[in-house]
Amino acid sequence: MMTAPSLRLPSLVAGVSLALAVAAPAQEQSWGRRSAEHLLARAGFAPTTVEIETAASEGPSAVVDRLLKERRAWKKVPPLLVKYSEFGLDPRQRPLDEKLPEGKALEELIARRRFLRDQDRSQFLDYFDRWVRSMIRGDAPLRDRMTLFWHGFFTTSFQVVRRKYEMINQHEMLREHALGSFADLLRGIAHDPAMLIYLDNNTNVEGHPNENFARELMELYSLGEGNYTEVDVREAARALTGAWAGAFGEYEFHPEVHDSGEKTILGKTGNFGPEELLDILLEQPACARWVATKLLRYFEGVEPSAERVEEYASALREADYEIMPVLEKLFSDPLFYSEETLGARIQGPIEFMVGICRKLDLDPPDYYLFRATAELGQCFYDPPTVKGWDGGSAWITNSSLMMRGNCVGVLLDVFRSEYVTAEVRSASADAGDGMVGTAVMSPQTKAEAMAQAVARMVSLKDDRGWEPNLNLTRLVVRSGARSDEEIAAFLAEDWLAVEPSERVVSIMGEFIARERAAYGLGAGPLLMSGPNVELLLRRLAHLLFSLPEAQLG
Amino acid sequence: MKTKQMIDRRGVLQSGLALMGGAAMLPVACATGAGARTREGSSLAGAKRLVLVELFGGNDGLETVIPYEEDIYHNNRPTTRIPKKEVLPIDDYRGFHPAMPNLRRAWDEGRMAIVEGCGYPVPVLSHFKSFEIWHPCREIGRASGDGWVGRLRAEAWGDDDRTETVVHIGSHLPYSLHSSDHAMLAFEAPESYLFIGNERDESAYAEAGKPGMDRETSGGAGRVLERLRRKLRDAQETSPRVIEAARRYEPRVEYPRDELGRSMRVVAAMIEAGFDTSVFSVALGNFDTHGPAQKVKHRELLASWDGAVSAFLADIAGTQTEEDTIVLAYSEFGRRLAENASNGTDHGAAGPMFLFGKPVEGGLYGAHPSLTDLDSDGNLKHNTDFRSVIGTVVQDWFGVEQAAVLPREFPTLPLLRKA
Repeated sequence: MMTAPSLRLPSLVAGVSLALAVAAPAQEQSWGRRSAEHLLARAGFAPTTVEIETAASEGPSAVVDRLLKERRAWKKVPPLLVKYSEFGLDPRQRPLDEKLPEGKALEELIARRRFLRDQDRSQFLDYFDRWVRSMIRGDAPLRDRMTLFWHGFFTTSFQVVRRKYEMINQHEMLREHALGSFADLLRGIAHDPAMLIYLDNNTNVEGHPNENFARELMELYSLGEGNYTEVDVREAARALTGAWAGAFGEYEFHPEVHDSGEKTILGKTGNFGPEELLDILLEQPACARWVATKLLRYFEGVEPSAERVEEYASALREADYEIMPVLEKLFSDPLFYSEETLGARIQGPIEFMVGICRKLDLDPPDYYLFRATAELGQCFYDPPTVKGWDGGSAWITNSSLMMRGNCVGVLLDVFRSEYVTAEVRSASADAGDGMVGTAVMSPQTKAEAMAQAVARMVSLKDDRGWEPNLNLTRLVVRSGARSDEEIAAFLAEDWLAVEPSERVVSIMGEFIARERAAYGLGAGPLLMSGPNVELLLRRLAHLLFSLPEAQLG
Repeated sequence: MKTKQMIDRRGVLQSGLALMGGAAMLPVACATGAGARTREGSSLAGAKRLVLVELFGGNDGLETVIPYEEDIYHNNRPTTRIPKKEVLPIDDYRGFHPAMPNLRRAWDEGRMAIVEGCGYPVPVLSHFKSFEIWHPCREIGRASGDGWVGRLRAEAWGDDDRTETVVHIGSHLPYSLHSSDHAMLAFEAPESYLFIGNERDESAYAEAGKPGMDRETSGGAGRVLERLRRKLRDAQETSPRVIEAARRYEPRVEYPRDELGRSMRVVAAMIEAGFDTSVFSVALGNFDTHGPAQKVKHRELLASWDGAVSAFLADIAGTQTEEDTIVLAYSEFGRRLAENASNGTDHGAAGPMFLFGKPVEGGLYGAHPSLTDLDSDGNLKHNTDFRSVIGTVVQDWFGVEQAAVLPREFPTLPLLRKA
């Protein structure tokens, strides 16, 4: 490992460093590769070795500065609805509400709806693809990271909203304000058609208030449980009456159904409407605390202490809800680099898959990351509940842990037919139908199950002609690693955020040795190139990225 | 003291019950099972088992248990209605949809309870949000904290940290199973519950998941790693057992080859292979149709449900499993009485719930929802809180105090057979 000059983290926010240094002198880390990798991974996405080394030598203030300031100007990406117009359709038409003109046949209606549904689905997939590719390219890492954060903070599900036009517009709104002001985000979401559809505000009318949005607005999006009463929810719902999603995906306020009477919300009384309600929410001390809690929990992967929440809540209030100064403070906070947080965060499916593409410099097949991350439990705009994703250890179930390995295997293109046919079938012929080792599964069963699993995984990528643009052989040859163990150590170091134990490295070294034997490659440096060397290294990569260590970042 | 019997699979409960002096207060179904609660070989005789079948998308209750004698039904549903002569009659008021001949047999044999008119106080017509009431069984509908099965699990089998206590099979994972403290075993199908790799990949993968690595990663990462390695070991332990159980299983009857049929077959296979599972969960989706294709589609879905559940019941008939297993089927809501403009029906409120199995006291419960006394949106009103049915299962089947699982105690129904 490279030893960096011992360099204290600078104070980028005046007046903060002293208090922190006093509070936690033991937690301070000197700046080096490890802290550089940590910062780049959490503020953006898994960095490559080159990026880590550059950042390590640049020093922390330069890196934080670059993350915060060296960003492209945000530009709104219009929803990809051009395809509709190509077919003479109104781009804003709700595809699922398409009514059949009088006198048309049922088959025609069904075909037309199917067509529109397909268009709607593919524009959504295209949009997601564009976003993850931006994460992989890494030209707006902090904006992409914060957009991912807000996508889980404010939840909306396409299962409820169904039309993707509104979903895409919401995401663009989150992206626009991702590094701006939380006040703008909260106001944006309260005027967001997808959100208003999702939480039923279109049925919130005077005399028949629907409390759904009012409740979540307080509980999940601004204050957190315990900071309002049921009466506040009811009164807030009245203030939100008439705030609707219009028929063409735009926000509409309908005074004719708005309850303009007097309301008392969180101690204030007046003839409040949506705008006043938002002001009241933003005035609550609990609001900054809630956002600070979520930010710290997300970026550090551990539950923040009450003192720390208070400190960051104050910073957020002082900054008038601007996010950047708070992020700057966090990325310069020695506690952010403590042993409790370094490498102790379980990556979510999107960042996990994006990280692998970054580490391997891989261009994934179209739509594959959408499907893979959905398999792994983080489907874009389809949270399990209105609360969003729990994150942390909830990301990993025993099937999702194995599935992560399988999803990586597809990207590495290691699940070829010979994988199953040659390897497993021969084992099955040798062993008959008996048990092998400690496994309770017979080779015959295994061959069948494996063949089915491979077919299933491979079908997740649409483009059957796709092949990864990978040359792991070159990477290893250039590294100068010669022995099997050196190769394993080099790749583990290159790819994993958490340094694996010597034992894991030696297990991987032994794996290479066994694979050499299987491929007839002999001992010694892997100087000889060829398809088997590349396949061996890809299989090693598959294994390394399947390890528990690879889930951390 | 309220009776609160933990289901203990290790047979220590007997003495415990005596100590509690609560034998007389025991729910009958629980008391009968207790005597047989021993572990013999791999089969867990007497361990109570529940299979949940979630029909998601809003099953049209009026086209499942059909009030065929009501003119209002026929008049309101010119397209979707089933003509009187096609209905499989239950009595002179209601009958089964013609796609349910096999479940009708279960009814005739007294192994099917129908709880009509189930719902909850303020109907929510969004699938997602109605399930946020069903799954946590809370008064206010939103999924937070644990689901009711998650709470049942913590209460009844909290000291058992094996994932297989609660098993979900299929792609649609209900939130009811969610538990913050106890991981469940969930997979789409046995074929997708495995790490793809050959023997050498697998052995390296398994080696790397072993606990107590020589040079431990320090700090927070070390602790997280240990947790992940434990998951990995659990996955490696259960995955081959699931796959082998499914492959070796020779059912006594043929299961339908659709998703629900395959899932139910895996449930039977896992029981036979000795999985120590108290709650299985499977699902049948695509009930969310609203248009001209609804009538045909609904028939197919009911046929799938009919085939899978009846195959399972026939498969376990005459075995110990039959004595220990009940099946509960439900949907997040029913449909509105009147047809919509496109020859289908829209999301409604009250609908029936179904309980199957030999331990079930077959018959009608609740009341068929009135076709004249509708709510302001034209929806059927519920007369039985769905949590009464779940409360009955919790209390009378598993012997667990309702308060530990539900927001309050709900009146139970005599759905389970007395010994």
